Amino acid sequence: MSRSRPDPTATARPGAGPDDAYLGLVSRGPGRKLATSLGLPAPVDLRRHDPTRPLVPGPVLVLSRRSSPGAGPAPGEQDEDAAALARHLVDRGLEVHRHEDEVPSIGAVVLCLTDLETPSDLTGPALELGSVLRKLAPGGRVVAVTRPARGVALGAAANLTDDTLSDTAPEAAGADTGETAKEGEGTQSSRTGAFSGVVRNAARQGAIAFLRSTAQEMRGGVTANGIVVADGVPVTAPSVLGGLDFLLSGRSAFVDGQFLVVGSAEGEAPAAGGEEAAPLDGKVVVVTGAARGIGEQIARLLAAQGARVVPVDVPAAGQALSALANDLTTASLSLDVTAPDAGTRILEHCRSRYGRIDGIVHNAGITRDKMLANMDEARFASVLSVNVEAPLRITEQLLADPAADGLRVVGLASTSGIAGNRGQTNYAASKAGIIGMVAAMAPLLAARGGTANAVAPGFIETEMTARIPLARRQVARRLNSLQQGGLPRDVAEAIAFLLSDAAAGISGQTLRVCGQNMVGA
Amino acid sequence: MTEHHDTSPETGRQRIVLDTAPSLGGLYAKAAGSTLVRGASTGIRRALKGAPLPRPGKRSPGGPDLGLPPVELVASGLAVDAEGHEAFCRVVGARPRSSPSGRTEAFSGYLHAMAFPVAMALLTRDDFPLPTVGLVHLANTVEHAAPVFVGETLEAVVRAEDLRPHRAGAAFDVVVELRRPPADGDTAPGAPGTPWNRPVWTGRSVYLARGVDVGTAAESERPAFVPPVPTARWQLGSGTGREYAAVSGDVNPIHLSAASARALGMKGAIAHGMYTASRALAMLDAPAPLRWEVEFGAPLLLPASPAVAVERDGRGSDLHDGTVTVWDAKRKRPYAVLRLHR
Amino acid sequence: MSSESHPATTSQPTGPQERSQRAAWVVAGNRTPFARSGGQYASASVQELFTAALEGLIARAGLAGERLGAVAGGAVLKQPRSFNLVRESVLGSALDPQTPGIDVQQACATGMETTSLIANKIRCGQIEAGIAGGVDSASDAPIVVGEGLRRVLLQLNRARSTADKLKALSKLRPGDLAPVAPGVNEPRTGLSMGEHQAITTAAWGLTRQAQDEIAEFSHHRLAEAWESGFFDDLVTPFRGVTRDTNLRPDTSMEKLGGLSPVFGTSLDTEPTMTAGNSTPLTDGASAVLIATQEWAAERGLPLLAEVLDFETAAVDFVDGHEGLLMAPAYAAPRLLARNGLTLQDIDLVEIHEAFAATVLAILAAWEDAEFCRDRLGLEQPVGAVDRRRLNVHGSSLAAGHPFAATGTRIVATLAKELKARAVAEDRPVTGLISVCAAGGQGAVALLRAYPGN
Repeated sequence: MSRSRPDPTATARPGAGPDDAYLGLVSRGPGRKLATSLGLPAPVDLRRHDPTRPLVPGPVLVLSRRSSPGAGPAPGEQDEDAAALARHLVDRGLEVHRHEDEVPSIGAVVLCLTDLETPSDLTGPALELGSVLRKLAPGGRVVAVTRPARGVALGAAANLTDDTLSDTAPEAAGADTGETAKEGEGTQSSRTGAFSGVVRNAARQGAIAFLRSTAQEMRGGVTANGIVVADGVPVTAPSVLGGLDFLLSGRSAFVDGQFLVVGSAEGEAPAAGGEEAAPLDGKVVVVTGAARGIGEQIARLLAAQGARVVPVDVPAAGQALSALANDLTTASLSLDVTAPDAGTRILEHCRSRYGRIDGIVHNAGITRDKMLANMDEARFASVLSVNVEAPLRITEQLLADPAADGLRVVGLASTSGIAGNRGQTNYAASKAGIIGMVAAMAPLLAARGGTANAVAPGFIETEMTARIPLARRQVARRLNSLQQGGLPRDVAEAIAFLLSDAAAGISGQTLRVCGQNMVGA
Repeated sequence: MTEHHDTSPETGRQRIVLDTAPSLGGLYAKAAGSTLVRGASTGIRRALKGAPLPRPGKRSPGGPDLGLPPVELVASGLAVDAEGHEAFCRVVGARPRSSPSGRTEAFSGYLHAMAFPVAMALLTRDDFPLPTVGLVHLANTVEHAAPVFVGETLEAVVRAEDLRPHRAGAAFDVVVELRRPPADGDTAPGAPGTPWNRPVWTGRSVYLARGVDVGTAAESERPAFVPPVPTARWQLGSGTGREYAAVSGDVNPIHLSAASARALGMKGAIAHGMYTASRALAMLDAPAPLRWEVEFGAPLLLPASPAVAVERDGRGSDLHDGTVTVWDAKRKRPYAVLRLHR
Repeated sequence: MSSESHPATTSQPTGPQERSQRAAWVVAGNRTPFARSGGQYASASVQELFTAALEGLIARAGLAGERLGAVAGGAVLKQPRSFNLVRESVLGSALDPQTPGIDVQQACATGMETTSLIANKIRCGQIEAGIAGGVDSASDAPIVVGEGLRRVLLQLNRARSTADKLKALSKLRPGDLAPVAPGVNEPRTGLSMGEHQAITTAAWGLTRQAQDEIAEFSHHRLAEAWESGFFDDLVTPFRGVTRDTNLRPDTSMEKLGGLSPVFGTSLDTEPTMTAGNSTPLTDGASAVLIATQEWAAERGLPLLAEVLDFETAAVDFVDGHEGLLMAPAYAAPRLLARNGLTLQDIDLVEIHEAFAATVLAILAAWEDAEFCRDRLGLEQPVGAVDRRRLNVHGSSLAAGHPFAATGTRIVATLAKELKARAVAEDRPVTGLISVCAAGGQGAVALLRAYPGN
């Protein structure tokens, strides 16, 4: 019998969490008008991935400093980055424009800000973006492509190593940026070479908060995100283009106000044409805590994208795990991730059954919430043990084996791990530990062709969050730019992207899937 | 029923030939009724408590003559009915045997049941001196001399004999002989119409009429009962008596229900002695010819789960000696001990 | 085949491997946790239970969508409508629906017999892989109508006219309507298994102390195995039950000693068998995946243990000539002799604990020169079993005993333990399984694991 691949959307109703009645009420019809007139949050059904629909809900407008009115490219000047991005989008089969007056409605705006030299360089493109926002279709996208700055603004994503930052003269950067450097020198001739780096850093940093603010102003399920491309990495790097695809698509529906940081030109550029149906084809990926909740959705989505998933969960969750494994026509692995030999057993399972291991998603996690004053050792220690000690030990054991060359690691962090959360001292510590783990693990893995990243979910509609008291739950849901909770599938989509070949140039990063939650933003 | 009277040339007894098979239900009614008619005491209840008239020690001169009637009852045309036989075997757990010729051998216990109405007809005759109701079945000896087959028709001759003292009253035997009728060409050794052959099945049932004084019994030490190692247990439901009554025709109320048994002075319904014997015999599963005897002990009050021990020296044709003991495991009292020899 | 890839040591004869065309290997096992009857599984049918055991095994081995040569299973207590229990379970599982199902029943040895059946099919070259298993639920036991009602109903079914139907119904008596509970007593003797064992227990003079020690050991070993995660890849939870509910990790000689005897109370000897040293009625299901080396290798499944050989014995218990549960004492020596082995060659022994006394009686019989001479026809006693090699992860006293499921529970447990020891000690390791069964039957099996794969 051939079993058809499970449809990961089967259990996820688009736009609505399991019990978000408010969203159902106000996302359309009279309820929406009422909510709007009262100034209440007016969330809409998010545009999520649907293979039958185009990548973006309309033409894509590619803007850059030099395409802006009044700051158009000087004759003979090249606008290479924007042009490269536009070419990629055309290759994707999209309708691409460079000027807003060409189209009445826009599906997405790509803002190429790779050539900012001074803070005021932002003015042109910013205003042009502002002028087209009303043309953005519901579920539209704004994606800015920028270069990194040295500062705090990247927040959780600021894990660039020194050699990916160019904070002095652009001359220090690679040959790819040579032209930009020359051009910069030309426009800021009064400044010394060293100080021009300072100005540039200020300009780049400005773009970050500009975009975050924009994201907060978006309505209709439109998201605004950025791609930070390390100096020396061309915008044609696979992970830039792959990241652009991801951020434009419905797969990033609950990612808002975030930056994908591309640190290298590693990876395989996504093929031209429509979206890849099975970007994880043939990859052997372990998912811990897969029996239910987000873990189950991760496993289902990875399988739907072609991965050979190894679902792992504690023996006590065996019945649900078996049902999932049989559904995905794969083999389950019952083990407690805190077992001292868990990594060895995972490795053994993958090697004996598939002869390889390509990725692991450290999803298994627990909460034992208690105010610190009332905290006991068992609660504190068990959360650390499961949520961060186990991923550390397992990954260490995997990496001890040559089979783990090229290993793609994805950890599950949390917005609590970024901003902290009352009553979750233990949980926040463990999740911040994951952020630290992937940041420090990235160079180790880079040497072996692998990556380590984390996703930090915000408020996700799960069985676990369904247990939060109703009033608190309603508030928690609305505390983000999309004014609703995300779905397990949204987390899974981000993880699938980070596991894909296209994301090979992204490592050490923590990608928030939080709808631009105010917490820790 | 009508009777033909004659005198047996062999036994000198008066032969009474029954030309219709007696019905046990009617006979029980008669038995109960005759007790009343005799005005023995205060009726059935009293009579069944083992106080047949005359009461021991109160026998007045000129009381009833306790001599057993010098008669024998003859009933011919007793058919070993296939359906009845099968039903009986099912209830007592007997495995019907097939002979090499393909015929089914009749189970020894069934033959007793088949002839039992004739015996009852004798015991309930007006000239039978002891009350039928209240008789205690003490033992049974069966000489099953040759296989009898389902579908055969037999003749039964029944007599009562050997009235003798017992420590608890008076004992006597009811002897039932089953014979095959002469086949064409058989030459009858005796007078025309008399059985010509030796019996294929002879059953001797020992009954006790409690409290009847016919003299002093020789004191015999009954050996203490030592329970053997059990090999089985029977689960006898409260309906056991009704089940056996349905297939044996023995509808004595003391077996049928707790209520009917209590009405007759028992603590509750008790299993038929011949049920216990037949079931024990069935466990040995031995073919004719064979000889078996059963001795009954305590009444088997239903429902019950008696312990059972089967001891035998072989199986089937290789079985020469076997014993089945049925006893009350808690009180360590025997209900029945059946011995078989071949 | 195995004899090529794992040359046996000189002391280990290769008999069965020479005889068979190819070897059958236990490659995975799974069971539900066992639950005391009337508990958490009270509303689960045997089909649900067996399907659950299959589903867990399918998931563990990654068999979803696979067509297997056969699935053999069975239940001792089975509803008439479950006549095709195994096939129905297969259809409800993730296996390819083209996988055939076979119902087998040999009382408590059902799981042993299904293992033998699947292994033999593999050895004969008929199939490449199959699942053997068993299931029982005293909670889902059939309740049948009494004989009287049954006859009336059958007659009613045959009746054509209304008059005939009324006639049939008129034979119905109120008492006929009472349901009849399932009989677990021996049909030929009417004695329960416990009563039978009590007679054997008395005959061998087995003490209360010795029986309670077996029970305590069983609970403690099983609890340790659970704690250590030994069952992580042998058990899949069912209906929220994650461990065997009969298990009492904290039991002690003192607690066991406080229990009143329940069997043998009407015997002349002092009764010694209690609820603590007897197995309770249990619900559960188990299954093992058996395959050829090639089939397993293609799927990256480990060769846990080779199924070497089987033997079944039956004793004449009806007249008390032999104890009801003593047949394994006869079967094992025959099996060992056929394979050129002695009890001393066996590294691990699994004796199903129907009762603690069953284990002790079998052990005593093997050590008894008279028994071995008169009953087994052996010049020398079979010998003693080193207790450190016996039921090392506990057995039925602690886990419980869903009749037909016990055989494959033991096969899976032993296969895993043999493999671990073979790897640790870098040598072939052989195990013996003994399971007694109703009707005076007993099944024994030899399993052998090798250090390599």
